[in-house]
Amino acid sequence: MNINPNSERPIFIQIAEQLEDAIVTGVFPEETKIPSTNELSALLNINPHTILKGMNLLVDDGVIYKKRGLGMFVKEGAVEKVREKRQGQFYHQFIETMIEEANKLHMTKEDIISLVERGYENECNQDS
Amino acid sequence: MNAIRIHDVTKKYGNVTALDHVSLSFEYGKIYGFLGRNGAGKSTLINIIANRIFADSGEVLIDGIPAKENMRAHEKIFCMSEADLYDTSLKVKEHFKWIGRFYDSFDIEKAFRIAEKFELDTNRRFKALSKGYQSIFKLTAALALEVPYVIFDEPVLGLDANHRELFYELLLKDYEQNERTIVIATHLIEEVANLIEEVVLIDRGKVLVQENVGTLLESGYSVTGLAEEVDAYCNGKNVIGSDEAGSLKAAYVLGDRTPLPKNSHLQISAMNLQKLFVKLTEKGGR
Amino acid sequence: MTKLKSMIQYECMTSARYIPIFYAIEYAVVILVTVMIGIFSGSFENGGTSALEINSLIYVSVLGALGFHEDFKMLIQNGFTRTYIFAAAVSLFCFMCGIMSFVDAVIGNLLHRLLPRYDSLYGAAYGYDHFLANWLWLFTLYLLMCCLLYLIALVIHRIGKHLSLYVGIVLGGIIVLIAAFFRYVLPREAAGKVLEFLMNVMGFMSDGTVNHLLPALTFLVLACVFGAGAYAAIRGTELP
Repeated sequence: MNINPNSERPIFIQIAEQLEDAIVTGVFPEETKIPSTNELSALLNINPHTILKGMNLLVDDGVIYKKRGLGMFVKEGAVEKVREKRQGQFYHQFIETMIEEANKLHMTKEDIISLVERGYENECNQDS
Repeated sequence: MNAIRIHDVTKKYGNVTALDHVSLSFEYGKIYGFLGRNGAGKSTLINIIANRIFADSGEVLIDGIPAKENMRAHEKIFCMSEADLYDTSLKVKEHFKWIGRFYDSFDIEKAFRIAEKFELDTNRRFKALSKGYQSIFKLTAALALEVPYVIFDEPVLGLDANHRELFYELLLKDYEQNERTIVIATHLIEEVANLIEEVVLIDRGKVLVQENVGTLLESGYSVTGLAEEVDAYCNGKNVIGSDEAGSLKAAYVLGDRTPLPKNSHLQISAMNLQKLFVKLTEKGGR
Repeated sequence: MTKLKSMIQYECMTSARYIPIFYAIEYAVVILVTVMIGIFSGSFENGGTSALEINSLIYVSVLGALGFHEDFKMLIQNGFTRTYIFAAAVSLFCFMCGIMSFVDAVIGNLLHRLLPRYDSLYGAAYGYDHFLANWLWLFTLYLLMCCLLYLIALVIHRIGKHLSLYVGIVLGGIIVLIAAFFRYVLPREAAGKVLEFLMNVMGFMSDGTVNHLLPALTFLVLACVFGAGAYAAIRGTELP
């Protein structure tokens, strides 16, 4: 886990996002325990209340839940939930930004589309 | 009720006002950052809390008990500072023994374990320790003492990076076991920015800010761009400082972020705690 | 109360370890000097010092002066109040002075038996027949010196070294003036009365008898006065 203290995004949000990443990529499978607030706190040198705040975001989203006396566990169906949420954010996070940047550089829609196609071709080539 | 309450404390040295009607409270169970520039009054206030010096007026209450000349109050608190207040001829382990006798809640085995982690030689006399290790000894004592209020005045000055990390790690581990009040007074802001829950900012003897760190950071941002555009955007806002380079200007604002005008070339970005602090305490603060 | 006990233990421990060292050095030096003089002058009869207690007097004075510094800081750091610290300091003084006065009384009397030429401070004035009075006299004398030096150390700490120097000079001047006043201004009779009073408080009564306990009482009173002064001073002492 890597927290960037100088980032735009508040620490607790970064924590939530990185936990989401770990869940979506399968590092923390569903129904397994994630590190405790205290473990993360000592690891990252971050106040445990901040960590808790980040975790509570995920609890509110239904991604993780608390098992009494045992800790925080990844909820069943969390991967799907996070994916959906991220897909919803995708447009705002990547597309809007991309179009804004493209306009700054005076790139046309066709330029962008051909770049996207090129990107997928390269990925195919890498896979094969 | 459970807090260190500082009520209207004033302290003057000649015609220099070190503390000017300072009122604040350190509540039970939180990690505080007590931030201020050199000479802002942090150490003076800590010395008053620790019964080392006396306030000219006002009072300090620890869980409702006055801190001045009261043994019961000082059972609950430990102040670690740079000042040389230790018997220099005693060995570290002898110091531990005496601290154990002076306080009810000193975990001497824990002290030895922590000393080992820092590679502190407990057989050495205090005066034979390097400056850094003298600090480490004080930190060890503070971490092993289970009092409800611990104040660190510049705890990591003179410590190498490894020891600093170790200290923060041990501090948080300790906090997880007994959620007590920890006050870290320092001018190394970025180091402690993520550790602390609440920040108290003091400048020239006055308290500028006492706020939750998250809330404070959310309310601060910087606006960069062409000077006229920046000024237009910042009209009516609480601008705490600005930097200029040619026709470019960066303004630092506290408050809500209003939407940028259409087609504006202004950039809004977050301010980290250190920047916020510097801007608040530059030339007279806000 | 266990805290007070710990604190007194601490004070005693830090100071007591110096006592044997002090005595070892003191007597080693004395013996050395005596031997050397004996060797060089051919006989052991003329050699030797008297009144070794003077050295103890110096030692307890140093104790009083330094007792403030190191211990005060350490105890404030560990949460003790000034009142408690004062109580511990006084306990320490009593402990140290008690031991040293006993040792000195014993040795003083012993030396006088062995070397008739040797005179202890007390013996020279009051004779060697009252051991208890001897001990008490030394004890209260040492105590008063401790308290006085403690008071001086505290005052110097509070008003600073420069100001202390001036005050010291002024006080010295006042003492000289008083002495001169006595010698040259005060009429014979009055001076005589004052002298008589002083002799009385030191145990040499007007009717020719010697009161062996009165001087100790005088010293005790003075010790209390200085002690009270020290307490007043310590209450306002700050450690910036």
